Amino acid sequence: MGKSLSFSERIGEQFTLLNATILNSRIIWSIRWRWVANIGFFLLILISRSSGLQLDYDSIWLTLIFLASLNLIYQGIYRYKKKYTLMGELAFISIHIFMDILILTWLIHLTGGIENPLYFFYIFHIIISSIIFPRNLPYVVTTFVFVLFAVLVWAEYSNLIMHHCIYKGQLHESPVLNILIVAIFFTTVFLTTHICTSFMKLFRKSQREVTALNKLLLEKEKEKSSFYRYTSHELKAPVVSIKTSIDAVLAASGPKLPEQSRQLLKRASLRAGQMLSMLKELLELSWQQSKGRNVSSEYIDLQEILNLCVDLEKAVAESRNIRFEFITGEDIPKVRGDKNSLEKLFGNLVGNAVRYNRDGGTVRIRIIKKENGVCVEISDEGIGIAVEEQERIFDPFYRSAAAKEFTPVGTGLGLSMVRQIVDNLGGRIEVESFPEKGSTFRVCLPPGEEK
Amino acid sequence: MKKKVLIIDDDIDLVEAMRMTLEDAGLEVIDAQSGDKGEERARKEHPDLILLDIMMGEQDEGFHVAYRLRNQSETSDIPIIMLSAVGQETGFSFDPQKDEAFLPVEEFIDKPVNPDHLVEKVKSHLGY
Repeated sequence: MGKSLSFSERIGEQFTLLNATILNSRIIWSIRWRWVANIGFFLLILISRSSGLQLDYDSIWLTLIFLASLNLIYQGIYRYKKKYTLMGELAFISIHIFMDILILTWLIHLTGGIENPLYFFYIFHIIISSIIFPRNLPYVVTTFVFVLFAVLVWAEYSNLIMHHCIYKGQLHESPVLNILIVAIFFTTVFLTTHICTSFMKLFRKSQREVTALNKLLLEKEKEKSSFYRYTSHELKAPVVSIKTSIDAVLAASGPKLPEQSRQLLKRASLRAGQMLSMLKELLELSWQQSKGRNVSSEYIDLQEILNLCVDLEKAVAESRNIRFEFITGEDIPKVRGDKNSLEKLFGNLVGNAVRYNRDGGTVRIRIIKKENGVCVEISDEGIGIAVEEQERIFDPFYRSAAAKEFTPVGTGLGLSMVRQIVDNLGGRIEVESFPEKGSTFRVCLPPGEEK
Repeated sequence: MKKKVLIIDDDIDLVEAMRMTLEDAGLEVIDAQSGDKGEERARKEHPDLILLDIMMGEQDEGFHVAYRLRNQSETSDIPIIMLSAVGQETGFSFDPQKDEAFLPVEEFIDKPVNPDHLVEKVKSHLGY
């Protein structure tokens, strides 16, 4: 634990579920349930009154009105309080619990003491305090509850205070019943506290471990990405040098070389180029992997991105008589992501649709608005993918048999990167394909905003 | 008189390959294998253009060299073409539109650059 943390931060760090925001949300929750309890009690008393039960109704009404006013005050404080701190919220919620226990005890007294199983309701406060309060503090609350209840029972038994009967049985006069109920009450509340606090201790411990591991993981991720940057230079530099040298020789003295040598050099240059694009895609993939899922603040119009991707492929498509068909609905929401990744994602898919299309075929691009986001469908009329291969095409370096036959050039990394980017954006990708008929890739992305 | 091009790059093989291409195109080529030596040669021999690699020794040494060349009166008017082997795939991308604002070089070229392209770019900045 850091030494520079303030006291309340230190507590907060040690005890998860113990921070100002969570406590604050618990407070509004407890105010709501207090209204429910208040109304429930009110109705219950109405029923008992109409059934002719003899109770001190004036005191009960007064108590309920008091509880309601108290809750109104809580709500007012909650609403108009601007700043909240951990300690402030903790104090506020402690007052809630303390007052609730006092009022509940008073109501139990007014409605029959041990004759009324209302004392079960103490369990709520015990569980809440066991979850919220750190260390063994919950035991203080539980002890307070127990002592209060035991004193009430004893006082009614020994006639120190009046007992309000709800049965004719005069149960409060039976010493055996009194002892039995208090003993069982004791066991129940302390066992509940024990179970809750031990669970919370375990939970907090594992939370701390998870946080620590998470931190470690982030550090490793950073190391990894700097490793990739370094590797990118180290691996690419020699290949760049090889290719540049071969090209320079070919340009300067190509015509003077024997045909066979020239062809060999050209092929060497081509292979070096292929290696470079494979390295480039591998590094891109690793980069996307190490980047992981991070919410970008950019809102992007998919239509714009797709137009750009289509423009990039236009020249190749025209040379093979492939045409584009663009279908887009209205009110397509923007998506959240970074432009670079989205361009890579759709650039790859549109590129594939052109590359593996038949000459004279069509590439259909549809943007569809869905309830939970936007889907983009990119279809071609090309070679298609065999059913048994459809799962594997997203694996790194995998190229389908048909694709390999169609063109030997290709890294097998494009779709791996596509899937990685889709994952990073929190979307999903599906493929539907029939050999010789064509393929449809569907990418669904979560919406970036309401409109 | 032949125009003079200074190549600053720590990869000697790459330098030799580019030298071959540029000399073939009728240019004079001088070279330096480090940023410091490159700056010195640029000051002393005042080339007509500098080809500068971004990644030498230190990851971004080329950037610092470019800054210093631009901020010294003897070299500030020499056009600079920056060569980079890392494209945008490492998230280390350069956008000439954006980056030239704070790094006033004439152009960024991704390595490997094919001979015709190199000659074309160099000549265009030499005013051919």
